[in-house]
Amino acid sequence: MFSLRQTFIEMTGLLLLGLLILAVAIADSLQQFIQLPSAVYQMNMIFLSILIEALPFVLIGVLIAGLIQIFITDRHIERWIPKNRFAAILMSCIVGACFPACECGIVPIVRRLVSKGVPIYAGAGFLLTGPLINPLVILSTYMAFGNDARIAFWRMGTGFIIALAVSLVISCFCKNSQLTVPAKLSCIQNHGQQGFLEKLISTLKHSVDEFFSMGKFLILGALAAAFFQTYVSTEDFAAAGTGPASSIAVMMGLAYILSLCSEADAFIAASFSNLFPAAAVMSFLVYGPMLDLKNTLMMLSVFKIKFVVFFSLLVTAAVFFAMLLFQQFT
Amino acid sequence: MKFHLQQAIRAAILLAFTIFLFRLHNTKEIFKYINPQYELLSQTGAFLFLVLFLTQLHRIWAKESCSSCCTGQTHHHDHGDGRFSLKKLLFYALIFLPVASGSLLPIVSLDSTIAAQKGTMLSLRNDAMNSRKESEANTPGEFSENDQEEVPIHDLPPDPNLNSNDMTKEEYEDWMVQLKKTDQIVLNDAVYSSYYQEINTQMEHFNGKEIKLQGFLYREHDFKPGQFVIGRFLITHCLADSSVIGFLSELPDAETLKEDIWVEATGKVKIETYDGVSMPVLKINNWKEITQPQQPYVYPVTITVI
Repeated sequence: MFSLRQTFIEMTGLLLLGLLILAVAIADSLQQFIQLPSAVYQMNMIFLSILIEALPFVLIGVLIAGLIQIFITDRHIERWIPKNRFAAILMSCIVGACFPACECGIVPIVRRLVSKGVPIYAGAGFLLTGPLINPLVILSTYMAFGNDARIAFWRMGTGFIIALAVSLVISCFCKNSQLTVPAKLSCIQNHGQQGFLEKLISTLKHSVDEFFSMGKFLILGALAAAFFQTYVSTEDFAAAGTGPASSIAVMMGLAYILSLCSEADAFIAASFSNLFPAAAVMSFLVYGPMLDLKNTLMMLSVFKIKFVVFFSLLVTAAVFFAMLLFQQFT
Repeated sequence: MKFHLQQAIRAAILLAFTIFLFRLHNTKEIFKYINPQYELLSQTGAFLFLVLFLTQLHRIWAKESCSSCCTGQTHHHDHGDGRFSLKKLLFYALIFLPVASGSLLPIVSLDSTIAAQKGTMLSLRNDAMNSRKESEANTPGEFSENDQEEVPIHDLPPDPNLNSNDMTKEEYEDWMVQLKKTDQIVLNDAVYSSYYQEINTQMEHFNGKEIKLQGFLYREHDFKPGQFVIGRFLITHCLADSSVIGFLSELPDAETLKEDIWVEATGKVKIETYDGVSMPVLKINNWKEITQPQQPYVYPVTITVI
């Protein structure tokens, strides 16, 4: 019986491979019949480019999430996370700062951690500092601003403080896990008695499911970002921000819709460095990794809408007012 | 033994992504999407898709009793075991969209449409404004006249770094020293962005020097008739973070030149004011139309530490 199933599996695999190779050949010959405006082609290139660049990060994130699901139990988490709220927040922000992630890869990881019993405020701290503070981001920021370490330093510093503040507020207002479906009903217990190989296969299966539940939001996010880049003019956008407050708002808006990876956004920020006040450029650098179109959509696949809205407003307000304050000192 | 349609669809999608990515790598077309620096990472991604596909394959023909994991309503994410509905169909279509659009639509290079939306003159002006600050700090006489011995000119050699832009610190410094000494500057792919930055930040030093470069033609609506930009897209990660770098250029009868054509041009740097900002402008004295280079984009230099 088992070997028959194995044969079936192999045959199905081969059949799928054959079908898809056929589809590729058909697609190649169909190409010449499709005529679309050239802007659509440009948008398609940007859309795919964002996805191709994000997919490895998302897949690695999804795998880590799978590993957490199978190998880490609720009891581990209980032991590791400090009972004290403030200590837990501080710890989560520091762990996030040490963890090299990008803003789309980190969402599945946070989801898994929260479902394992990590308090939502600690999850938020991790979510905020993970993509913002890491060696690659520091290096690229340093290089983009003409080897000037000050900008990189301020970016990390203000980002860390904002993350702490946001997590603290969340800890006062949000009590339960905020996941779309109650987390406690998961199936960890089943994995307890499995052997290592079986655990590994379960990890991969969980990763597949995770990929499909994240995937649609990632794709929608990439599509929206590509659309904005193709059809909305940066120049018109930038023209709206001339005052001290409006320039910060404009740069934050730009960071949100461009949805750049935190390791690459410094070069774009640098191209505004002389046109906008330092606080506005800083708001672009701090806000983008914390919140953007792509990762808001991904968060919607994980958390309740109410929480995502609250979280987004909170982060937006925190960055905005922190940067207004920052402006007073520069 | 039971056949699960949805698990089969999921397996097919994972395989489709695997084939799509491996094919892009195989044909090197992947470099039309991302900075070659991330080639290995992207290959890892393709490999992970393959692993996930092989895992998923085992779920198409399920054993009667699924013992490996809990099933049913209690679980908090979709295992893909539920009933197939229109909503699910749309969902899978969406996930499949990138593979479909990537295979059906042609691969193009970014052009002036995107350059316009990116606010190209905005960023060129911005980069030119770097100069004021740094030239103040610059010690005068750093480049004395007797430094300017004749240095042989590289004639746009085929770039060995076509698909990556790694160089050692020594190589990089060599290039920068050469830039200061030579009277005819050649912007090849490897140093395009470094030279561009340097020329902008120290424009006084380069006033009157000759620059040879390749790039595509781009115009903004408020340009004078003879004005255009010759530039390249600089890609840090992916096309989303691209920006145009290059020079505002002037050529008396340039109106006939179409946007998006590629040219190889030589011109003298002259500092002029555009929209209230002094910036280096190229007075073109020699140009010819060329075909688009194999690699239209340029990348920031990565200094290898080892």
